[in-house]
Amino acid sequence: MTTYLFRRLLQAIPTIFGVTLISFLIMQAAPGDPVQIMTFSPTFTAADRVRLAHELCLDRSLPEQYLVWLVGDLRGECQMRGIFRGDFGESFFERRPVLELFMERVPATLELTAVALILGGTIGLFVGVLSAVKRATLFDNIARLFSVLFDALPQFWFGLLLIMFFSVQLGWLPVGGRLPLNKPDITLVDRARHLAMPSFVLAISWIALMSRFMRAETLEVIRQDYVRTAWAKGLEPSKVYFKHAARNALVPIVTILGPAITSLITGAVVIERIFSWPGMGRLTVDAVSSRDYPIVMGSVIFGALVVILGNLLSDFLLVAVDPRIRLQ
Amino acid sequence: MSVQNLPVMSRQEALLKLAEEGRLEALREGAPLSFWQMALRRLRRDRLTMAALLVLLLITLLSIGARFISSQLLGVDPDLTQITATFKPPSAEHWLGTDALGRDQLSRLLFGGRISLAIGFFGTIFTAVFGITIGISAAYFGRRVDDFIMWVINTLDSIPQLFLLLIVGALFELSPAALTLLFALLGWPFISRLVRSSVFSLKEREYIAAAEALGMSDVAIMWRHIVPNVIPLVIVATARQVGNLILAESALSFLGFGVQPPTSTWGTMLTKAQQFILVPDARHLVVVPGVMIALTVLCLFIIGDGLRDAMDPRLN
Repeated sequence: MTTYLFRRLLQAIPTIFGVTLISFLIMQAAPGDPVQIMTFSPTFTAADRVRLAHELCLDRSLPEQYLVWLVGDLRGECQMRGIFRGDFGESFFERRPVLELFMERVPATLELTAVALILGGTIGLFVGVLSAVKRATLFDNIARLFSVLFDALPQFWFGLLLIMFFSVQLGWLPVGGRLPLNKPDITLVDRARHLAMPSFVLAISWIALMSRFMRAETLEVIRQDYVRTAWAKGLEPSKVYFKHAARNALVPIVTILGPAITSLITGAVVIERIFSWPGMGRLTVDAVSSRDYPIVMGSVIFGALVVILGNLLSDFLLVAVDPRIRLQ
Repeated sequence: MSVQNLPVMSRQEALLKLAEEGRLEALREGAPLSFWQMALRRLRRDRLTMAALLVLLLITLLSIGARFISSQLLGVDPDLTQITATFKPPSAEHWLGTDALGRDQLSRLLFGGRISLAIGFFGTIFTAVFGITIGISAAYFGRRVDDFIMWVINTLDSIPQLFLLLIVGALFELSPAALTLLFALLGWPFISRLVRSSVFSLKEREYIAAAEALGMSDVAIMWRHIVPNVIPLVIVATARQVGNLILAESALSFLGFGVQPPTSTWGTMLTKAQQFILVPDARHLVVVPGVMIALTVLCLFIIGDGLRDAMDPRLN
């Protein structure tokens, strides 16, 4: 177990290295010289530019620049400390450290994705188990239709339709935005009203995936002997299905957690934009629009880290929940 | 001459004789069906898939005939702007109303469908070609090449694709063709992964050893024996990709980094959708293109799932 864990961690290293290389190359390919962008005002002289380029190590060769960007300047001549030491550079426009901006935005995205994960997981679980139990009935057919439909809808469009209906037409829910955490006069209901639409829209593909998965797994499990035993003991159907069948059907779910996390953070990029949710996704899209490269590169690395960690977590949980599985 | 009537000759000899005479098709009657015939037969029995195929065919034909339909049947020009007729609701003149510039929505929808469908289909074909080529190369050359390819695959797999699409889309204004290529350049890893592992196991089969013993070249073995065995796997794996790419294109265009105006796709038609939801007169501009995308992708997914059910050997 420990060896496996250790090996998987080691395997992630070249991947992280590759991600940083891609980010770096993208910034190199990007039009526009960072020094030019940062010294756009007429108060800067040519000497200032040379000094700034030197401070940022931009006067070095390309491989050297990459190394400095990764681990900082070992000769101590320029200011960069490198991304591995937590220095993602400074935003061109906000003039603040990228990491600081990230830290401000992460809680919002975390709140949104966590609620979506739990909401979608719960709905998907119940629908999936019921679908399996009521196999080939009207409920099952409708549930299966929705699971394909939820995949086929453009998420952003579904979000816009919900806004059009629940906010503009009926006026029940706010159009967007997120409430600050530290205001005491904001009730939980207010927060829930702001979260309802974005988290549901983010959850739909997860609901689709989860319900299909639970249906298949439950169908597999309810044929097993211990389920027959549970029936023979005279347990109520709800206990048999949810306590005995669903619990075991849930075990392989850790295998889809990795892909689910990837789809959630990708979905968040689009959904945060529609619902004016001040998270990482919106920060990224805004930075791409304004060509704020340090933020863009930071986002790519950040997103990749989440995916890599999600996959690692998925693997570890799989070994942890099922002792029969010994991955090589 | 049938097999039974042949004079003193073993069955085997008779077959050989017939084969020499080029008349082996006489034996076809009652012969077991090939993999493709079985898949096709299963597919034809699947009514939902056939219905989806029909709807998709209709949408495709309407899109291909966009020019003829708009000029001859509808009598409108998709690029003609009319300041006096903006945000018109559906009417006899404009069946699906007009947009913010007074352009006819139906004809724009048909023309947009061309690009959206083409991006989806060609993007998937290129993805599959890249995936198969790179996957086979990894398994065939092995060692260093394999390590390198796996590194690239793992790296590309860990970066959420939308991020890369956004960045490249923002840096270079993409033409539909460039976007198609970009989708393929980012999308091949999952196919390569699949192809690679299946080639590793195929390489150990007896018929490959037999082909080697016959002196076939490596390239010929790959082409004649490996590729045909990999194709069904790839079709099952890519079955939903066409729909996925149409969705990706629409999301990218909605964010403003996809295909650039004046070229219209279903995605670009929704670019300004967010402003339109507040304008009661403009709601048809939000609803219609989205319904088109959803309907098309739904059909593609149903067909994809049908193909998978028809071809997945595990389900037989």
